[in-house]
Amino acid sequence: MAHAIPQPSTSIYDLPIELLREVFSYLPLFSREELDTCERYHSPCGLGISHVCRLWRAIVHEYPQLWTVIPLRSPLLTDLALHRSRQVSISIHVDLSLVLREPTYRQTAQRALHHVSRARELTFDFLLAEDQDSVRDPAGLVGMLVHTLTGYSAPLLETFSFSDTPSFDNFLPELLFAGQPLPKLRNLSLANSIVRHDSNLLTAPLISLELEECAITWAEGLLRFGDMHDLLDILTGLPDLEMLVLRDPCLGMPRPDRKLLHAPRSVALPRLKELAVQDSVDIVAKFMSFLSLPQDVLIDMCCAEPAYATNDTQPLEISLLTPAYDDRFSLATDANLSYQKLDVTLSYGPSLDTFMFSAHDPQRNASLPEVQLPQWTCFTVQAPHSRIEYTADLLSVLPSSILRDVTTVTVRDLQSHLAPSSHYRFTRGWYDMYRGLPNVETITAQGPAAVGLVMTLVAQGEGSVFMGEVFPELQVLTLQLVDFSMHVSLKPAVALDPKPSFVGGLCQFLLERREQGQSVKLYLQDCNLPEEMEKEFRVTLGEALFDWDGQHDGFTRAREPKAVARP
Amino acid sequence: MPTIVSVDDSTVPGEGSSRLLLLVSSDNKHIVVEEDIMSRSRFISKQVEGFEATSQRHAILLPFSSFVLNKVIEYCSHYRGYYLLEDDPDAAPPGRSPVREWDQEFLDVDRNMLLRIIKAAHYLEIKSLVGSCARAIADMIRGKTTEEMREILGVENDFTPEEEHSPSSKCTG
Repeated sequence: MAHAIPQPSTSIYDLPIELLREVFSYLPLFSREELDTCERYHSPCGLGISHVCRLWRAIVHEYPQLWTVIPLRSPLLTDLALHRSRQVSISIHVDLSLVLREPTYRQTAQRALHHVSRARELTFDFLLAEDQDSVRDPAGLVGMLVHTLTGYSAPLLETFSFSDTPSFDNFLPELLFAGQPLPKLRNLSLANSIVRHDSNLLTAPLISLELEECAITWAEGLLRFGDMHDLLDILTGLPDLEMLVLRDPCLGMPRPDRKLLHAPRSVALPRLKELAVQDSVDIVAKFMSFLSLPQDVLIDMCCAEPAYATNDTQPLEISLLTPAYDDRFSLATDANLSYQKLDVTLSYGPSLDTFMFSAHDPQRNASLPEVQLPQWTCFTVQAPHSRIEYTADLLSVLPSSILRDVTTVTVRDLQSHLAPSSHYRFTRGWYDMYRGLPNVETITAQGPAAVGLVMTLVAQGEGSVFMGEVFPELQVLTLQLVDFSMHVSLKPAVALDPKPSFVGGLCQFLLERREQGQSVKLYLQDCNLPEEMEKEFRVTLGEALFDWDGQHDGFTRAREPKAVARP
Repeated sequence: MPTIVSVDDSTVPGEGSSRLLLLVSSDNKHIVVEEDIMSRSRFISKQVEGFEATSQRHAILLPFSSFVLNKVIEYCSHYRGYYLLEDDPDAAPPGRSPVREWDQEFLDVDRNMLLRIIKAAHYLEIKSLVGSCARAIADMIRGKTTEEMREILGVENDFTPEEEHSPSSKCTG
């Protein structure tokens, strides 16, 4: 038989001390949010629990874990937290905008940084600065504060974040944390900072790395910005990375002739779960091509136009950041060039595959002799169609697991003045790219390159590949600004049944689908379809298969197809 | 310490991996539960180890009501087979429990019940449940004034007026 057991009480008083501590651990005395909002010298909200009763106050005073976030706005509380946290690891969050504005805060922060040897988390940020771009530090106050970190090792540090402003030019000190290894550092975030390639920050066993507008320097007496191999070298030593975020990280294209010590051409990040890259599309594409990633990695790419602007006029005027220099142009040995920014001119060479390259340093008013380039490996093609190929590059480096899930493709703003001889190369490139997209249901394509997207592809006279093979799931196709009169004679020598043309191939595709009991909604908008061809379309395709936009009323919105009477 | 009574085999059949346990609540309700479900409780696990050492199986008497016990069993059943870091005795202390949506719904109970559950979880050494309860209690008083905290959790103000109004305590806790 069981003995009688007393009924439990439900009073908070009956909770043992360790349970109250557990509860209080979810109410940090100085949460980061409270530190941002509390006025100076006022009691932070979390401290309210120590005013409830004597027992609670005693627990708060004697429980070091509650004092681990060090407040910096009140010297009294800072000292108290440093004292009451005893030897427990601490978190220090420095607001650099207050460092610049408040001498007391600066002194208090410096005092807290003397305890960095037991810091688990250390962040520097501009929390209260409304406009970081306008922040100035003529006296170098931030640099002096950060220099404090050179005097202490940080064996417990797990998270380090340093977010400078674009207007600063702050190098992280060479001997950060006394140059000692950071064996526990797992999370590193740097913004607008300059860091040495052999910094102990970058050799720690990181699992999370975030770089925004950062530059990496090398100890060769020469600043080298922007070569992505610098970062690739570093990533080679970080096989445990689970998260990698690069926002405008000054990657730049790799210098083709550079002799690399490590020379990674494929960097394996087998544990990566999340990858975010933001840069120009050509740079991202090239960078991605160097990475070996797990199949289930989540990729977030935000790509701008290529690093150089193109237009249809010649020569192309291009402003290019310094990755352009290398031994090929003898720039690296030319001490008269600072390489901060070069004005680079690219113009067409004797053939489409060659380009003329010249560079001018406006600061030094020094110019390089013009050089004729063969197809340069970094900037694969400098013709107006380059955007197309770069886009293709970008998609071609994505894991196939992602491509398989793509159901909608939108291609916009493609160059419209392509030499006919170039089309086949494009269409071939498009075909190679879209072959990896078997589940596409909707395509919206604007411009003549849309032809490459949907037409029957001609493979160097070896035969034809019909778009039905490429897009078996296609249900909606919208073509905008397609000049049919131009493309109808693309390659008449190759017989495509029923018509040796894009139109013919398209018709055949639609007819095949209809015969299979399927239909594809076809929207044509602002397509210059000649009268004869229009008739051909109508006769071939019959009613209700497509909408002919005779009004040319724009191409931004697809409309429901309407039945077209058979002539 | 729990009170232990002997149980004959017919009450608690032992069949391979799905053996049953008999838990007796403070209101003398007998609750049979699969041993596997309660393995998240270090206290129960230690009791079971004791049974195996003595080759005798017992009912386990627990100092809380069947109502509370059933809530704990519901929690353990939900997470049956789940790995929760906090409950891994071999893992490094994980710090604070993560927010789990199901736990938030599960602990959407009144203050008395919440306090009973955290005490039971503490007794049974189910760290994940203790952490979730602690978070729920903390959420009840987060952002509240001192007076509101007292009211919510039924705490008496035992400060002397001098202690309560001293400037140093205002500033330093």
